[in-house]
Amino acid sequence: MTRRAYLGDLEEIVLLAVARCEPQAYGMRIRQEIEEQTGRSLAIGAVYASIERLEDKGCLKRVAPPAGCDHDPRARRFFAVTAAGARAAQETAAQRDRLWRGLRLRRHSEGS
Amino acid sequence: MTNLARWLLLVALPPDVRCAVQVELDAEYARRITASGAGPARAWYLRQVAGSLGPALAMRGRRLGQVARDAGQDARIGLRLLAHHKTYTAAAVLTLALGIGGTTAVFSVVDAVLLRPLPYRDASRLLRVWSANPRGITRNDISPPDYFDWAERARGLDSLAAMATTGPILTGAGDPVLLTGAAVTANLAGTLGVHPRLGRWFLAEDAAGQGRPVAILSETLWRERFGSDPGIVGRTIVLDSVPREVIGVMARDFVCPTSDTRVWTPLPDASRAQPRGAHFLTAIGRLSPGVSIDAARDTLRGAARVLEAAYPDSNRGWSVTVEPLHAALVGDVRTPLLVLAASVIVIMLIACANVASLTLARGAGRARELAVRAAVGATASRLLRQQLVESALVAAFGGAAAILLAWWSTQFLRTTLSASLPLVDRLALDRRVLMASSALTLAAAVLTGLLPAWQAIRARSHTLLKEGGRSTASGIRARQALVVVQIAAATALVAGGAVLVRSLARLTSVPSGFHADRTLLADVSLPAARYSRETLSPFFDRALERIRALPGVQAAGAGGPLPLSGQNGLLRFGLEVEGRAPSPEGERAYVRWTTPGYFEAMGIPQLEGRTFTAADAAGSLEVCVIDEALGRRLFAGESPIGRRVKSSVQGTVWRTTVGVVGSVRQTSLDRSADPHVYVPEAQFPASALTFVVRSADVSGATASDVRNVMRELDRDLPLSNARSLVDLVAGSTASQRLSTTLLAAFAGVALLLTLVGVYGVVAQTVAHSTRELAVRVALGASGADVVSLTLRRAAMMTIAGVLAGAALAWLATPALRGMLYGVGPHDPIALGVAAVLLIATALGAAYVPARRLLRLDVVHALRES
Repeated sequence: MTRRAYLGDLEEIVLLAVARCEPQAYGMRIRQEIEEQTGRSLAIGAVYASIERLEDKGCLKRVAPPAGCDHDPRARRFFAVTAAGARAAQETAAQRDRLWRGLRLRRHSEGS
Repeated sequence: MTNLARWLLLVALPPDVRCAVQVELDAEYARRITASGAGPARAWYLRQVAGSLGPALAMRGRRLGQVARDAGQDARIGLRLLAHHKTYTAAAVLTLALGIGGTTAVFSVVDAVLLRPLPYRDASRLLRVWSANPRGITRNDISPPDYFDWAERARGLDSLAAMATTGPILTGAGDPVLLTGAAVTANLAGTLGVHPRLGRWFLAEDAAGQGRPVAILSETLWRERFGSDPGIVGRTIVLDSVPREVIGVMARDFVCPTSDTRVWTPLPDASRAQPRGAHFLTAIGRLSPGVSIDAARDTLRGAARVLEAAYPDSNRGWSVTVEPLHAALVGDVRTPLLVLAASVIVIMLIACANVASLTLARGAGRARELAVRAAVGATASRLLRQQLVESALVAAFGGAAAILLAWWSTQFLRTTLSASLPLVDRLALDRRVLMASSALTLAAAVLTGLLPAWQAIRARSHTLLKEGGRSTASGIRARQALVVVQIAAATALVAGGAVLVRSLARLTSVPSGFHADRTLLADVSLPAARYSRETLSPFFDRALERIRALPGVQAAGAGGPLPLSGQNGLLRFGLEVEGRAPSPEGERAYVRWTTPGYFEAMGIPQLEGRTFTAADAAGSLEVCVIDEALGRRLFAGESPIGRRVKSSVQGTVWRTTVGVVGSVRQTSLDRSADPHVYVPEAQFPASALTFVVRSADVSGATASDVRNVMRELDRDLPLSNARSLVDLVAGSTASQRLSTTLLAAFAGVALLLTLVGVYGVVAQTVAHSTRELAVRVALGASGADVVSLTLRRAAMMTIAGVLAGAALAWLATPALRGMLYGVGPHDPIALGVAAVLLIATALGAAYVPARRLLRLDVVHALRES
């Protein structure tokens, strides 16, 4: 986990969605959150594939279902962002900020 | 539609996420149906599935990659370990190479001979057809008129083809050479479903005797004598001084009737005029579709009964034997081959047991390493996999070495077996054999890996770290069990080998009736086109005269067919004694042609009267010499000298018996001596005889000396089949010799492997019970006591194995019954030999490590532990 994890676009979105949904972060809920916040309608399979990659990178981990969850605990998987995941997300955001810094692109986008 | 989509997605998803995705997707789908109606919900569902299929497959791909990465890691660790434990690796790889290689080689033979169908179209419908003669010989050749009548009458057969072996001399293409040939009917190729490689096969006109004489060459002859000339078709060759047009070339896999057949000529239709008593044709038929072999046999027997009624003089009692062609070709080698296959599988199992045992021993030493790995989180399945990957690596190396070994053995076997085994010339290390070898390698990997892997997992569940990795009692017990199994298997193999060795010893010590040493043989066949009946005898006289003049020659004669040569072994003729009514049964004897000097050259002793001289010529008193066996049968108690006998081969000639010679074994050493009548060649000319040249010492006449003599007399006359009489006798027991040698070799390998197995397990036991033994010594036991205790333990193991092996041998050796001569399958001596050998081997192997205990440093040993 000492290796620095870089997040792809989709991975970043899924990771942030997990963070927003915790402790109720399970596949369909994550998908819904992304749709609500970004308007992108992901396929559930794509969400799971991203989750799996994030798990491998150590950014997400499976957690026990939250207390009082009435779903079958075997069927529904809940996830949480790890410390490494949080670091990776911040790093990705910081990289993006640095790229934006001093860029005039913003005006163009305002103008359109 | 949604159901199909759902099913597709479930198939695409890896099993571990399948349930979660399904439950969530279904729940959301249900929610959407109530929220926004069935139509939009279904559209959403299908979009979800379509978008998920790609990622689902990607997830599967990642898992595969993970497995491959793990396996790669296991393999790297395994290779490093194997490189580190060089002795273990070498021993295990060599042992497996021996086991897999031997099994592969024997499988290649079994496959070529027994399993693979014959190289003919729909070969399972081909039959071999024989005459069954009234004296109980069920596989007799067929007379041409009988064949033609059967072929016309046989219902249920698409066709019935026939052939006779010929021995034409090819001249005009290099040195003259005596070829093995066959005269065949035109329907042979159609019956078998084969086509010539070049040119055409015979047509009915070729057999009818119209047009030019024709011949078809084998690919081998075409290559060796005609340089694979592509324009060979249409060329003329000379066979037995008759020019024949070559009309075709048969490919190498056409081995009908034998693999050494070099030339085919048409069987003339005119041969139908031959007497019905002249049986010399071999027949092959093809069953019509939907007809059973029994039905075909019935119609052929019906045809034979019609002939019996029509020609009672020649055909009374003659019937038909029908057998599938493949079974007929393979004949009696089936049992020896299966015995060898079973033995080599036993070797393979012993080898696997040995490697498993070696691996267990190493596992004991590695217990600490495994415990450490388990402690840092290696799961049971990971440890199991690690062990199996290591075993697979060892097996793969062993398998690779085995293929080299098998390649070499198949080359060796093809040349050594070709004389004694049918179909063996198609033996090759082909795809089938390699597949079998790979399957064996895989089996070896599993067999050698499972027990150690199980031990590794058990070891993991123990708290080995605490005990310093010494909890290996169960490992030793597992190895001891393996060694008992090995000893049992080896005992059974050695017992089987010993029975065969004893049988062969009995067989080869049977007196043949002649002296085989320092005697050279060579066949010569005088072509009828250049040698008339009157010139045959003078030629042999002239040739023998010159041969006797060669330096070192003690005696020389010509005769034939020679005992144990396999030529015309079954041809016996009826006999009548003058002054006696012909007995209803009819006395029968082998009639043999001889020149003066034959008995002396063969070393057949003269017992009474005289043998032939130059005075027994054409036109003088017709004489014969009989052997002791016939003398006893015909003239028990009286002297046969001066009595006259007549044989059916020369219908009207009464011959006066002038001498009695010793009996010889004619067909094989394991059959009792049959009666013989010898006639002088001068009075009953024969065109093909064998020269027998006895030298005074080892540096006597050679084949090339005799060949030179022939060349001086007739430049176009080939001398063929030059060999020693010793070779002839050895050749008659070749198949017994071969199976005995192979089984004895297997027994030797089994013994060697057992030696290694016992040594290993005792060494390990000694190493691990050092503390206990040291305590015993400290309490007053002597070093010798400790050694004998260790040996006693090894002896218990050995005796258990030998007893189990003896029981196994008792059950298994009856399979050898058909291969034995003079010993029973339950031979107590063979079993005793096996038991003694195994016990001696095992105790010897145990003594070496046990002896180390004599130098046991008690204080050191106690402190160490």
